Amino acid sequence: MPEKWKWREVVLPTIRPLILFTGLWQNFAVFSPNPRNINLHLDAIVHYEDGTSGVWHYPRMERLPLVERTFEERYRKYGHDHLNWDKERQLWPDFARFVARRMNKYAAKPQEIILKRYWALIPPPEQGLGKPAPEHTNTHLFFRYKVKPEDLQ
Amino acid sequence: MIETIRAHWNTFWFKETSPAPLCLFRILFGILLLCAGVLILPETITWFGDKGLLSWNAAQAYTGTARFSLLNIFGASDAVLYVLLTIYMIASLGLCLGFKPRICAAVVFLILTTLHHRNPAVMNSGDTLMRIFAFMLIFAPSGAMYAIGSRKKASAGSESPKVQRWAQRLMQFQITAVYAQTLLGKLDGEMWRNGTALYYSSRLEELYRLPVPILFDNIYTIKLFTWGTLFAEALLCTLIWSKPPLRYYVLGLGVLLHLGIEWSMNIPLFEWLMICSFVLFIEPNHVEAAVNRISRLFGWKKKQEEPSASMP
Repeated sequence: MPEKWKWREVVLPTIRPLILFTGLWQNFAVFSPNPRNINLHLDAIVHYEDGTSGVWHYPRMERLPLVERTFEERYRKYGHDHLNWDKERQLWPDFARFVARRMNKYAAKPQEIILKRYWALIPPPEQGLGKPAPEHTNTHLFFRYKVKPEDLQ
Repeated sequence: MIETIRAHWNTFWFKETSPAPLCLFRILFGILLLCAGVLILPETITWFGDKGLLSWNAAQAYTGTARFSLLNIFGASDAVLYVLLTIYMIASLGLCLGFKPRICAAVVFLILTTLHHRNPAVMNSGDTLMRIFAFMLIFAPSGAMYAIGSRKKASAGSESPKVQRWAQRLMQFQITAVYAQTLLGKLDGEMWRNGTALYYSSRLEELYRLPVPILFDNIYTIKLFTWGTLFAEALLCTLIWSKPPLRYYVLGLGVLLHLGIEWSMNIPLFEWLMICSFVLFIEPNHVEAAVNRISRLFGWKKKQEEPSASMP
């Protein structure tokens, strides 16, 4: 590393905890270095104790009315930038419990939650211009969670 | 030489000027804070509650390091969240009206920081910028004009109040930093360099808002707008510091850029926040003239109340 950059090794570790603690952190790297080239969404499959099953559809912004889309935008942020990615797998158990509570509306209790990811790559411009975005035909079951009674409280 | 530099430094940071841009920004910022609160309210527990997307314990592990939070002091119950949001709304209204704006800004900053640290994964760039601006407004004399009580003071004297502009300068640098960071990040990206970035970003379904026919279906217009975005952001972190009228052309370009994003992408409030922050770059006399014109238009100000340079 060049000499002139060494200050970062000394200064940043010292001030970083302070900046994080005080809420003065910031990041405005929007669409950088590149925008994503993938469309994705997820659903949660719910298995009930009586053998039936249901699906909780994660809100998809493009399918919501305009006003609702504005109010629910944080679902997009959470789903597309965090929940759907393996590197943030620590979010999955809490999300499964959230779905279990949402789907706990019947006499039979939710027993298992399965998170399923759907995606499609955006084709390069020479193939995609003037065409609708491809359907999310790729799928992957990425998390299973056994619901405990206390999760439904 | 050193004396000249020192004089320029002092003029740049500490020259006393009318706080009209800062005070108008305070009002606009307060309105946006209120809008942000309204957008959060229906799903408060989903975003920040223990039974929401991210439990309190998981949030502590997720953030990793110690973070300031009022929830550490008052508890992380749903009731506390609603009380904090109510206080936030009152403080935002206080900022709009200019009632104890420094205290209101401090309250807004503390509550926003608390919410952001409770679940950073639902926060976007607009939320971040609101938190930073709220912090800076704590140190800014933003209640000197267009505020409850400021009218009485103003009528006692014949001219607009004068304040040091270092706080406004910090906010201007913040705006510049936003554009500089996003620009430098994009320059590393192959898609931005080859002109296809807008093709991909306009096809991210989760961000769709209103349709943009033709423009995003033609490779030449896509390249034009991709490189045009970089060009606009480069101007917005450099020539935004030039003198009017050039600065106003740059701001106009910025407004067009953000209105375009607002039309095509669902990123609530961020674009409006950037547009409102441009007020901080408008010359005080131009802000005062515009506010006077609007006041007369709506009948808030009678003609004889206006301070006039031609009066004896």
